[in-house]
Amino acid sequence: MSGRAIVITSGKGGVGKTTATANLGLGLARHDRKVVLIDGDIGLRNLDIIMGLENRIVYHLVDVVRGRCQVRQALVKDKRFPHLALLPASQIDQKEAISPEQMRELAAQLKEDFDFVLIDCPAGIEQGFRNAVAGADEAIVITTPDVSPVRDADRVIGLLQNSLGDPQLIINRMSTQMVQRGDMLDQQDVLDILAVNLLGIVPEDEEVVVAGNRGSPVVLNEKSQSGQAYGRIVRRILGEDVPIPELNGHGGIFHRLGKLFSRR
Amino acid sequence: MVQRGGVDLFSIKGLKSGPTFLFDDQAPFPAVITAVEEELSRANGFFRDSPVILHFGDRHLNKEEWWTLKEMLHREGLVPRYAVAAAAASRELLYKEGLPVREHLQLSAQESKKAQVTAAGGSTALYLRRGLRSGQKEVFGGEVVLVGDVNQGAEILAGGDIIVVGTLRGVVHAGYPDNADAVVIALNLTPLQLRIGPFIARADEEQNHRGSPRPELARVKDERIVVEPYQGKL
Repeated sequence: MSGRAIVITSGKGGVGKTTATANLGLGLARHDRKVVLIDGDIGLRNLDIIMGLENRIVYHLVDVVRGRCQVRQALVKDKRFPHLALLPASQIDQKEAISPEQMRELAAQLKEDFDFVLIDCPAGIEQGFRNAVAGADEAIVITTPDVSPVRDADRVIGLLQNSLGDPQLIINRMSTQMVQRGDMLDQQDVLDILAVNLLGIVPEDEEVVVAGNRGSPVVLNEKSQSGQAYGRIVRRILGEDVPIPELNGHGGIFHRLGKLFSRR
Repeated sequence: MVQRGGVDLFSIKGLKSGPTFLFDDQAPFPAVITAVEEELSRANGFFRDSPVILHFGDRHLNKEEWWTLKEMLHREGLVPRYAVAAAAASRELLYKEGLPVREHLQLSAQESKKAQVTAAGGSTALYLRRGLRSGQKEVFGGEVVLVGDVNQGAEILAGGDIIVVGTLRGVVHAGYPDNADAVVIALNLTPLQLRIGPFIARADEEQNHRGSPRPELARVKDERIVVEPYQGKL
């Protein structure tokens, strides 16, 4: 078997990379795919909490790379799906504890046993980013519809295009009310700037926070709007043609930026 | 071939973009110059009249060193096409000396999207068939023509005109450093900041301007930058 290794990245922190990784992983597992999630954020381990698996960790990513244990010993099996596993980050090491080459080898090894290897990338564009990207064949960039995350996403897309080609985009925390009031960039504003393929839009939803704290990601909750959005994104990743509902505004904040000098 | 600890002080690579001269960036420059002379005498005039790419790696080139090299290349009948230098100071120097400079050597796939053309008037333009994203920068001594968007956080620095066939959102400097005759043209001109020669203009943060984008032209008139609709001629 040779699975797909996908890195989930954003440049900016706090836009929802880890939450997205957990939800996509669970969503793919629910479609009976064998999935492993790698927490690439060495030193700032979080994915285990969102997944509700923090009390099951014995070994971690750095242990595997250093040869202190076998890969299968470090994999934490999910409590909901037996074919979903988490490879946790180390909480005590630095990003430099592993190299891009080691990450590439690890991902190659995991791809033999899993349909999907999802790599949760740390914020920033330094070593941690380079490590996470080195293991991947494709990338998903996540942004919120705000000016600074979009600029950081643009920077990351520029970097990814040198190695992995065009990434797919998820716009997270889209607020219908704010877009309609014209206080937030709308979908088209974001796509005009980033010019990449849109994989999906996840609406702003308090459930996401609650679910993260409970270790039970929203994709498991059929009633939640954001859970349904992740469900659709998962089906798109699997190649289904699922339309993206539009959340467009009428020319707002972004249209106020820009213009201009003296005109004649 | 002259070597330093197993490393070539100078080598010539026949890349797709043209013959490329690779200079060691660690060894003392006189030693590199000697290596260049030896290699070129061995080549026996093979590269005469060819446009060559000069790759300086990370070297911090000074003016004297550049002139020594330039004179020698001239004696050998070699025409530098552009230089590649990782060190910003070296790029600055070479740029001021009138040589187009790049930060990286562009290879195959990217190279095909990027070309230099020489216009009838003798000015050289850099043609870029892709947009610039945040954090990306192009520096070129002549005119720059770019097909795509220039996003916020991206930069173009050109000795001549800048033409963007797309939306210009980033920062551009046409006519660097002091050519106030240069112009900037874009299909949708919404830069954060725009510089022409010694003049700087900033986007007005208060104005609410929209409507469908139209091609616009920025130029210097009466000591300030003005923007006007582009009407098919300069």
